Amino acid sequence: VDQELVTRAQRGDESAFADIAYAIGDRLFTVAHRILRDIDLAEDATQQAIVAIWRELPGLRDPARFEAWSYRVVVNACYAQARAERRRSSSLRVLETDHSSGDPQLSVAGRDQLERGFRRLPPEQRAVLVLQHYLDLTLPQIAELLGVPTGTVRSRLHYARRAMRAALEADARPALSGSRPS
Amino acid sequence: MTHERDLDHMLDRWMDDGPTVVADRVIAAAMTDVHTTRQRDARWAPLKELFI
Repeated sequence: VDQELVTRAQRGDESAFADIAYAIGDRLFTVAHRILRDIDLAEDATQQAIVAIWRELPGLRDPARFEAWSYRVVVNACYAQARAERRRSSSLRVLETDHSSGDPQLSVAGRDQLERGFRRLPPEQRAVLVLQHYLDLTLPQIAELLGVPTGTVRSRLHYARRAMRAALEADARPALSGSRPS
Repeated sequence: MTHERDLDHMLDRWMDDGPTVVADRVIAAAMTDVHTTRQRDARWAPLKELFI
């Protein structure tokens, strides 16, 4: 994003901010969707994040940090959406998984296992997985982006990866737990 | 046993799946909200930045 646009938007220029919003909308939405795994929730988080970015923009001291800062705002919007969604539905929501597209080398079963495992993670753990695997950020970069210590990121990643591995392995051996040979 | 490298590989590929373009109506709705939202006073900004 052009830093001149950011500076103008910081001074209240809505037209400059509209250019920014259209420029960053796709990447905010893409990250929100990877965290929330739901298009409606991701759209709500994106809208909420754009408004929060506008509201808080005067507080951004270094316009060069705009991109990382905007990711932090959308991650926080995802946390809020996930909390609101949890309050709305106490029962497990059946979400459709689109298998019509995607990497053909990743099997449908593999995607289902990842989807199920990921949905069980708290949003804070989902976010670090997305930042590491989708945005290819390092642990210190994730820590800086989220404003938490590197140790916290490492811990969240550890538990998230352990849960994902468990989900994959549990689904890989369904016969062992349920049936006994006669 | 799922090896670390296999898990990394699966997560990388899985995260690449999914929509990458937001509907214009989402940005338009956000800009409508922006129009009626006041920006925070910059004098309070350095403190606020610590928390967002």
